[in-house]
Amino acid sequence: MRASSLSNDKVVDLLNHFFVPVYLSNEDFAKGGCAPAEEKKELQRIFRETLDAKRSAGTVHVYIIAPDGKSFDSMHVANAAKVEKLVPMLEAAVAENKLSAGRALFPPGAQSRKPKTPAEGLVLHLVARNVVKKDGDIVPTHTKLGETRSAGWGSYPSEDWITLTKDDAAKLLPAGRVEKGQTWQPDAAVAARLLTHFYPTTENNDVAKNKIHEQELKATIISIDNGIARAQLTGRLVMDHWFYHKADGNQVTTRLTGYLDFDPATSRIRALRLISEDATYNRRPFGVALREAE
Amino acid sequence: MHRFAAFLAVVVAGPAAAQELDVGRIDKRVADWQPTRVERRFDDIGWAPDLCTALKAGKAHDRPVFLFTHDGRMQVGRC
Repeated sequence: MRASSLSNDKVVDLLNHFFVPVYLSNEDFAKGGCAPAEEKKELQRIFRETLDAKRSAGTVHVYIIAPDGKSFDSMHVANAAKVEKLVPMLEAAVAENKLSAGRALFPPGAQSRKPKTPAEGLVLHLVARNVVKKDGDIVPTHTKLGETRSAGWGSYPSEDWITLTKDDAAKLLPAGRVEKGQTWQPDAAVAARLLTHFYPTTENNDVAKNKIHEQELKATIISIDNGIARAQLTGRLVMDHWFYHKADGNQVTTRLTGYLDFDPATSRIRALRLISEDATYNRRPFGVALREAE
Repeated sequence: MHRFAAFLAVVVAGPAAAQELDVGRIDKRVADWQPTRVERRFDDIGWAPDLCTALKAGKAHDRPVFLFTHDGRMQVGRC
């Protein structure tokens, strides 16, 4: 829905000028989820009142709630993802409620935000996207968004924010004296926490279900300048990652290339860049780029 | 001849693990693969931070609330 109707100019305009748009993740509202009790109660009320009004309701759904808080309309995501279905729904709500256009009540802004960095820790940002070979290079694919046909897996890139504590980040570095030519293997458990996110856009995003079959990551010091050591990173990953939430045999296979800049005196990482090389998922190409968050 | 020389160079250089680090290529790829402004069109919507805040704002400003419930994390494309 993000790729199609929620990227459509008309929909964006209607939502900003006539509605109060909000989205929520069902995981937060499930038993044990982090949403406050008051929020969970309101969602249950909306769900129940929508059903009482003989309208469609479900977990992946659009709900229009009237200004007095009562159920007004609803639509399953399969329809709401279609521009030609969602626009008339919104326009009907505008007309029936006799709404006048106004400014967006909440300022638009980046929805994917860097989490707080732990004291002396490290936050990494990962992008996974569909790619294609072109003129001997591998380049991103760009789908035209905002149309009904834009909906599809990988229409836009996926992102992950990975947070490492000071101690975990230090485990990626060599122990003891640092010298040019020195090689080591960054801590496998910490490296796995990064590599488990090396998969394309899929419905399943539970990394606990991933199974790493082969994981290699080797670091080699290639320079030490002005107190900063630079290590070349090379490696390989073979990992099972289910597309949906059940075993399907789909597998990520990729080589890894990158570099790591760090201060040996303080064990602080200054830069960490790691990219996939010729990555495939179920034999289809995709790409991953990981870097330290600014 | 040139092709043979290039082939020989690859064979002698060995697999990727032994190749020279090309920081410029890595940085370019990282930069090129970032989400574009167009791919973040969804950020142009003025989303309320949570459901209760949205309902209160709707009541205060006489506007309907548009609520989308989903699995995963739409804001990072993991959904």
